[in-house]
Amino acid sequence: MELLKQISQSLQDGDDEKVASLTKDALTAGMTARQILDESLIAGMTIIGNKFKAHEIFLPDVLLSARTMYAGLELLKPHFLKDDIPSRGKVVIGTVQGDLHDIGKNLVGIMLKGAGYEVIDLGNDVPPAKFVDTAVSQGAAIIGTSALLTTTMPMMAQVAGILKERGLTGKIKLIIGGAPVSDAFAREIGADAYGFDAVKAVEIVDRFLAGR
Amino acid sequence: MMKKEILKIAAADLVPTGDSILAAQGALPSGKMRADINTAVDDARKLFVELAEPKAIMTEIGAAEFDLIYRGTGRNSQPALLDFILPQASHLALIAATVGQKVTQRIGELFESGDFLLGAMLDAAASGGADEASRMLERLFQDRLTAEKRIGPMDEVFCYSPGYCGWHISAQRQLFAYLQPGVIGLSLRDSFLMEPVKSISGVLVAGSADIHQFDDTFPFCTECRTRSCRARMGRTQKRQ
Repeated sequence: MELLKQISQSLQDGDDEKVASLTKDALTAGMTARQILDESLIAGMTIIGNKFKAHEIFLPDVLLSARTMYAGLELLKPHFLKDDIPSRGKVVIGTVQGDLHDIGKNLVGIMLKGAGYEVIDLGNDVPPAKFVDTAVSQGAAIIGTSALLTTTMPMMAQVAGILKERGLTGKIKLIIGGAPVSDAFAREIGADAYGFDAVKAVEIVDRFLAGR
Repeated sequence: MMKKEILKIAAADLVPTGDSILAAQGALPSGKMRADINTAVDDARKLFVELAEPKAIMTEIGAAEFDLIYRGTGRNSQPALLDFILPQASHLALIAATVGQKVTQRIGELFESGDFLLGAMLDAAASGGADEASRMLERLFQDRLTAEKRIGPMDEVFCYSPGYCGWHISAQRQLFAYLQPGVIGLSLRDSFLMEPVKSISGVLVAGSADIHQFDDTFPFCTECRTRSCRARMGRTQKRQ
């Protein structure tokens, strides 16, 4: 247990060498990859996410910890494959068509990966149909769309419209986020949720996928 | 009148300061950063200089010709900021500039490999570099017009871009058709965004410094996330 706490603390400190070394030690000690992921890496990233949400740390601190998390995650990956451990779920994310702003979207992707989800990041300027097509072809249960510009918000409504047209509303959950959008806008366009920030987005994904 | 010209710019002349890269990440300039973060900022600045291939294209344009570009497909806000500024402008030039594709590609690779920190810093450096290219072209146009005695010492040149201040982004189509920035490797997506993404385009407007001063109380200002006009107007006031 102490080892797992040390990994979590080293992740929060942004010390990737220590995280890698301690992760190896934990595997050697017989801990499972899932246990290490859940109780050290995800636990550490959750603390980092909450500190960021509380404005105790800056975005670069989150990015540093995320890089550190990867150092541990890379060592766990072979074990997930070997033991056939599935990811916690797939999430398709992207910044909507006409919008290049992707800092928020990237942060959501980082936090979701840190929480153990498989993230399919379509990048920016993503056409509405591509979100849905990718979710269907990849078997993702959640689409996360981001926009910073008010002019590109209607693209989110188009994603909701395509889901409805194809009878996928509710089957594939649509989460929206970004500075100009709101809970009210989410309800207006028929999205399933509004993620105020990256931490909230992870909480919503947790909730949506918990019942599956 | 200045003809269309292609300009090669040294990447080192565009590289943003470490503080501005951190500020783009929401960090306070005075805030103490961990050593790894400062190293990433330094690495991003070095990578930018190594990978960026900045190029620009610029041409002077008459008011009537520009009006067709500005009107675009008739989707500008009513009123838009330039509606007030253009009638008072003395000289105009169309510009486009890019820091190139290599830097964008590297940003993607860094995110893919899990190095979010360096990826985000390089992303901020590239955005800052593209913005600096715009400011460099403003200075170039101003210096030339001054040297040719076409503007006076109290005049200022500022860049305005489609997609901002009520000028609809769809006008990019007309701007690209006139300027033909394909020669510097720039193309336009269906969404009117530029490829490579770390690029800028717009019109340089020369005129008395006070024409660039305005109250940021237009309906579109409430939706603006950058409010970069305030810093620009501050620049003008300082010069005065």
